[in-house]
Amino acid sequence: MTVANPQPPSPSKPPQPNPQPNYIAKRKEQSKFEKLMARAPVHIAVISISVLWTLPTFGLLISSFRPAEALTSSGWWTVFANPLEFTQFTLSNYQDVLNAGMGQAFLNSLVISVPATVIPIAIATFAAYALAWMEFPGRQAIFIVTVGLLVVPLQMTLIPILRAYNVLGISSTFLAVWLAHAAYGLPLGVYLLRNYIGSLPRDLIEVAAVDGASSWNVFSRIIVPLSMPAIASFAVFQFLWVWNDLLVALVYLGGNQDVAPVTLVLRNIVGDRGQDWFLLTAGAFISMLVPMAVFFALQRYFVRGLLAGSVKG
Amino acid sequence: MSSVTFENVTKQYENGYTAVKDLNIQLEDKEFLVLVGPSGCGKTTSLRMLAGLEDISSGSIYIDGQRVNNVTPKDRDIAMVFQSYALYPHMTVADNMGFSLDLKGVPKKEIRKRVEEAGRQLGIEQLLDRKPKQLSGGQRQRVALGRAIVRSPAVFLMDEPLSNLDAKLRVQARAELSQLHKKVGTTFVYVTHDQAEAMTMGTRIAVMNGGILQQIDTPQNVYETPNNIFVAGFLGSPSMNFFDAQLLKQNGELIIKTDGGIPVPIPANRLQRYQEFAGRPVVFGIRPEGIYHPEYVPPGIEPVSIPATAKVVELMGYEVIVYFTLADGTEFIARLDPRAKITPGEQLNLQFDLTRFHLFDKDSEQVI
Repeated sequence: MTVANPQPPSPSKPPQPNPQPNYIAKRKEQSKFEKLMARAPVHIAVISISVLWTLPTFGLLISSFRPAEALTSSGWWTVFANPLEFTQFTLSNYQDVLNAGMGQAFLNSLVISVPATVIPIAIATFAAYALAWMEFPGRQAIFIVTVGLLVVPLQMTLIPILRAYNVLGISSTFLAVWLAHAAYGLPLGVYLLRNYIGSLPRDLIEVAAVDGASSWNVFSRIIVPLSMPAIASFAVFQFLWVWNDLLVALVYLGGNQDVAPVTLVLRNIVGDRGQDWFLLTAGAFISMLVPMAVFFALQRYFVRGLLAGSVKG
Repeated sequence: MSSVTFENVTKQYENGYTAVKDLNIQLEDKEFLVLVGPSGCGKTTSLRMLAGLEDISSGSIYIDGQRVNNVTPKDRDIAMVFQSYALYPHMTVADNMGFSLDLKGVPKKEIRKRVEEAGRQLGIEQLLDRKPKQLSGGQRQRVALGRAIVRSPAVFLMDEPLSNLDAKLRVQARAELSQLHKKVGTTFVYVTHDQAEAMTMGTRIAVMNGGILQQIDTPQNVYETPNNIFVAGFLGSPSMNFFDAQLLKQNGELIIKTDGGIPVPIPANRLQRYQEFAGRPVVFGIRPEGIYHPEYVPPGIEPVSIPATAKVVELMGYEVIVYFTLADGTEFIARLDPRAKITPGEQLNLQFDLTRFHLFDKDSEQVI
């Protein structure tokens, strides 16, 4: 019995290749150093912009640790002459600010900011779902009017609303600022959320309807979980705006120290003639803690691609 | 189990555009109906009207004898698989599949049991705790199927579910869907633009064009006896060749003469049928596989010799597809035996099989 021995493959001529035209320049191999140098201008620009941007905040941080006399006599950069001399630093600014009633003010700010963020989100999400996915007469008109309210200057509303609050007897209460902030935040909220919810795939909502979901089920179990990025970004925006707000708090809450938020208390600390302005440096950083915490906590909701994997292609 | 009936169903939009005109289909229980046609022919609109996602302008749809025009999708006892799968991205596969049961209030244990069973049926039981974005295209498609199976509906609706899969997976999924249909024994209504899917999967095919149903019959019948030029040219790839011709009486005998002057005798068994159309312009249709190389002619056909020049030769391995031109410039395609060695420019006397040709009236485009 013979065994067929494997034969080496017979040589076959490859098809004629096209000759390379010689007007195509050959790329030179770039060395690592050359690549770095090519990107250097971008790096330099980015770094300088970042430094320029952070410089004032950094200066303020240094100033908050310097005693009042030092602040009025020399600039904050002078600490770098003797960076390790700790006598030029002090915590007195922070102590003064905290003793002036910051604890209660913090609480007040939270009590104002949290509902003033939650209420417009709740209203705006419902409204956005209806405006984006439900058919009813006048939906375009309602959307346009609501978003058009963005144009109205806040200052124009102060007197009429304050009068209304006085009639209702709720001025200088938390309810007053909650309602006011909710109303001020709604146009933007409705705009953001309606556009985001409107961009969700129609297929998802239809398949939920076929699966047996009522409008409420679709809203609560599909739309809201998928809209988290938009809701989170609006929440951060609204929270920061309310937390840092001075005008609305002053107008609707002014005169009642029990309910004064951080912004109002800081203003009082500076003094009637602004003589204690150095306390603002410490006050600013204390006040900054909460918004920064909120921002970093919710940052992961900005992750794009929450919808990846749902719809093919 | 159920039957589905479309009765004079029409869909007209506000701007006057009519997507579906007077559709009449009656489905028996356990049928696999494929709605097939080019883009814009109204097949998806018809499916969506059956699902309840589109309003019906006029006519009625019945599921299981019950008129469902004004019944919401969730009360129609249907399940739908979308082209884009539409999986809920924030839920796991198990939650996706069990969502409809959860909405009905079925106890969690029961949901888990049914989800696992459907998972086993589809081969995805190990994926139940993953999220859609962690799945491949084929796996997502199975999850979409599983979501429909778990509901045990009266009718399965599918809107081009295989079009997003790569070619090899598509062939595999086609066979699996056919097997699934046999196993669950439910009525399937399937929409596709791919005529190969229609031919291989349906118990009946409904060919649509421009909103109008062209023909509804078994795949075999639609392929072998198309009603009109559209159906003849739609099914089969490469599609049927059409030649403009006239039905003439030459020397007392009825023959077909192409506009290029080539005479084609008519087989005796068809003479009677064509007598009344004598003198009319017609279209002569023959499928590429009905044309043979002169050296490889099989027995049992009625050949007529037609000379033509080969222009483009495509070697497929199991056959060779050749683009020919007649003397007058008319082009047509033939599928020839792969053993034939043909070079472009070569002149051949091709053998046209006259047991397998079709004649259409040129004006009405209907078959004679």
